[in-house]
Amino acid sequence: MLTLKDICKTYRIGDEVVRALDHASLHVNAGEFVSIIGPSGSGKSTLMNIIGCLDTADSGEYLLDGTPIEDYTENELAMVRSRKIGFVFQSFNLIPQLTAYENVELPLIYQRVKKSERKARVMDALQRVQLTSRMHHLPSELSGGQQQRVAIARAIAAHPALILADEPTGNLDSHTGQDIMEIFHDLHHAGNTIVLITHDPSVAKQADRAIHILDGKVSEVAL
Amino acid sequence: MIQSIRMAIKSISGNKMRAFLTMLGIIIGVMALVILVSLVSGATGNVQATIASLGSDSMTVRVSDNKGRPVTLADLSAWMDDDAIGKAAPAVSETMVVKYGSTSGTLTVYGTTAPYADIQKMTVLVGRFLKTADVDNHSYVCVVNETAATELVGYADCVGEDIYLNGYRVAIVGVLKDDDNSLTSPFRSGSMIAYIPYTTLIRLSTGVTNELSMFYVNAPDGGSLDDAKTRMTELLTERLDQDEDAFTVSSQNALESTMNSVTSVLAVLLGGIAAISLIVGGIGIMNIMLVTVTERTREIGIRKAIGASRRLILLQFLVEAVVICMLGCAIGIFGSWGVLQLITTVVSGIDLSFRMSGGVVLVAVIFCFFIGIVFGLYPANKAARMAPIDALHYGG
Repeated sequence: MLTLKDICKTYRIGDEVVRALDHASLHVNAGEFVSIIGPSGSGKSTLMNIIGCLDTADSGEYLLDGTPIEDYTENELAMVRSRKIGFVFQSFNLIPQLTAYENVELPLIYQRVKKSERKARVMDALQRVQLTSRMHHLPSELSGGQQQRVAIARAIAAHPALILADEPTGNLDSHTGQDIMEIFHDLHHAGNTIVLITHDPSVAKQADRAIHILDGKVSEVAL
Repeated sequence: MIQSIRMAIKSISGNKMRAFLTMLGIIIGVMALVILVSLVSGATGNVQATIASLGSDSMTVRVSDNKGRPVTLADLSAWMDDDAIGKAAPAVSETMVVKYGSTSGTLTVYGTTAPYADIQKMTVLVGRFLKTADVDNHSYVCVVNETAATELVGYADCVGEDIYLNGYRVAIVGVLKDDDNSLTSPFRSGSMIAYIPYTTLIRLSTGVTNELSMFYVNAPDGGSLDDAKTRMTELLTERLDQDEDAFTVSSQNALESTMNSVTSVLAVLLGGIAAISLIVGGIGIMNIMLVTVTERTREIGIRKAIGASRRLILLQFLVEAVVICMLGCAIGIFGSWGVLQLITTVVSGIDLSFRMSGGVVLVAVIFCFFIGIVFGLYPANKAARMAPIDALHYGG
């Protein structure tokens, strides 16, 4: 499903060279629920950007759903993001001017899905996060948990190969966070592949498998 | 595309005040363009109508060298029989001392023939104009203008009175309406004028002979002046040994075309100035769009993360700039329609009509569209080029 081999990525901040990823290798099978855990500054954001095709690696191989992601142009990366990856962010990242429904609809518009099919898929996604009653509200009129549920609906409406969640519970209280985790479990049981990035061990251990990242080096940890 | 327009309208309506202020430059530019050009074309139409009304169907013929074959009154009569030529009449003016009872003064005397009244479109107030019989008989009769009648005799209805021109007694047979519309009326207004038969003027004045050096010709009813002009030129060229420098034929059409070129230069000039203000408005739009792009960096990041390509982001911001421009254009056109209505009402006394011309509206719309594209392209491209990770973490 997802294979990273010897991925390296360095950043230059002023005169200092930061080695964000140092020969990182990783494999995730289809239908798996994997968590990536590490403290801040460990390189997990960089890893997530590369997995999410928001950025490309300096060296190494990355296979996503059988497709090698190398030296793609920005437009090709946009295509991959659109078809294969559903993002869930820590800070929800909904577009404030659009209603919940329109936010969920947006990736489908970018995919040029027909209007009738779009409607069906948006409604289905909103049903799975139990938010159909508030779908015509703006993000500012929704609670944090509800906003995150809209973001999840947006991610799954596009039918991605991989759901990539970056600290999805980071901005929520523990109770709401657990509700969100329940949704991820449901999605996992429904056959979705999920990669969840977190610094919270209690969240990480809910996954099938936890991968530890520290100073750009990746290692598997038993939970 | 429809989606992009809907998105653009949504984001514009999210910040109405700013959108309106951004549009203001375009609104003012469009209003300037439409109003100025409409005013100029309205005024042009009026001036042209005036020129046409004072007889642009007549021409003036001057013979500078008659090659021993002078043009006479008999020639004019012969030419009037030509199908392409309407009427022809001489007009030689002299300044004479005039006396009526104890009143005296100076007056301009025109020696002419009967067709002159038609050529110059004169209106007889009382009595009649000169007749061909008067010319044939060298009659001592005259037709005076209203000014001469009132200043000399004291009242307009003075047919039958006698006046003395250079000591010769001449009977008034008609009074002409003062012609206010004439092009030269500003220079002649208030001056006394009398028309006498050409043949009589030869007797009254020493300098006038039966050799005509200047006369007026018009086109026949339903005929064109250009044809008459061509025919007249032909006749004279033949008569004057093929020497085209021996005479000139000029018409008021020439005046009209000069007027046209002046007003079209004026329209282009004013339109150009208005276009500059439109461009300034466009720069204002570019400015605000750049601010908007920076403000919405995060939104751009989100859109890119969920699969928007560069092209789509570019299109979104470009459409937004064009929509702002076109909205401003629409408001501007509507506003200038209102202003033109107002001006037309205010100046309704002067009989000027200022209509919005479809041409200038079309030009304004097309111009606004291109301004939207040209000035929207740079900010939109800036938005499209943002790296998704940088944009996503901006301010968050």
